[in-house]
Amino acid sequence: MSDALLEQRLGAMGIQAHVESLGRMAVARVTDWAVLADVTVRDAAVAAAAELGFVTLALELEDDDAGRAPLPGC
Amino acid sequence: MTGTAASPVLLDARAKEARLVAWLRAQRSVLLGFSGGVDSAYLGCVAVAVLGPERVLAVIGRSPSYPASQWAAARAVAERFGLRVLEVDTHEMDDPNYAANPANRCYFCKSELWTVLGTIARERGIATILDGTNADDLREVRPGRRAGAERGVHSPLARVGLTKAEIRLLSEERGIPTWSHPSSPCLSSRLPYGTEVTIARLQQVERAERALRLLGVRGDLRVRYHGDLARVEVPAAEVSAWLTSGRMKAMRMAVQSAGFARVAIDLRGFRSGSLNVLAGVANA
Repeated sequence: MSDALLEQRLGAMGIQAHVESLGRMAVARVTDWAVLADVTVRDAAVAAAAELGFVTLALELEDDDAGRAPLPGC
Repeated sequence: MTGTAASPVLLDARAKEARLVAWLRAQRSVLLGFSGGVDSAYLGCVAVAVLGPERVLAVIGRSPSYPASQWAAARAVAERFGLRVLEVDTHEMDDPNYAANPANRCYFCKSELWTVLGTIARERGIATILDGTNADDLREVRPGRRAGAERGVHSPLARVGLTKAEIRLLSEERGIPTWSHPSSPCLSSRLPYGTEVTIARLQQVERAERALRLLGVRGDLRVRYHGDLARVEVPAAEVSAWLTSGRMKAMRMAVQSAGFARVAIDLRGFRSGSLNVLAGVANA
């Protein structure tokens, strides 16, 4: 699995993400998550993850007040 | 009633139901492993209609992996349709083979269940033990079926070829409220294989799912346990609706209130057996 490769693939779709793999699952922290409400974009993201061997892609629901570091490059 | 009575799908389902009725009629008495799910509720109701309440005993095996909401549904159906119910405790959690959560975990659970139910059947002179396995189940990874087969448990729904969709159709026709209920496998199915099954983890998952139901999640719902992370699966058609700031926050807080530190929504939506896929024992 390649977290970085998936980040690149998502980035090419305009989705800035930080990806963490948990086994065969990818968990993404996404800055502009609203684009994923579009089923076409979402399906493309899931397909990109599948091409890299991930069986699923999950969007982490982040706590806005948690004070996490911004995503790389964001 | 759904659709028109002349629907070919319904006619086919009715023909299968007629074969089910004929098979049941040939039984002296039956003991049914009863969860209150779509399949066993339908089978129990048909069995009572065919054999009468005195010749049908529905047994609920209760354990920490059995959701309380499912128990409530089971009791409601039984009361409404005159199904005699016996509740027994099962102790699969005490079996280290089960608690270790191997890919064939269900085998150990069902071994315990059918052993307990087999004893009850012998004590009461009931010759035939039934489960709610349907025709679709035969095509899925179901290690628990072997435990039933080893103990002579019959699966009449699968025997006559009734699929889940057909069972829902026929249930609706009979006014059985479970026709529209989502599938509800045991809570242990939310833990990836190899993750130890503990009462605390099952309760955590159950609390999270209950909180999400209160938020308005309808239909299929799973909170998959990945340590401090919960992966939420909602129906695929509803994923977009949850991707708003307000609803995502509500979902996160609901699941965190159950004790998860991190929450993620699965972008593929609900898939039955998705942990089997993650474990590589089923195809994506």
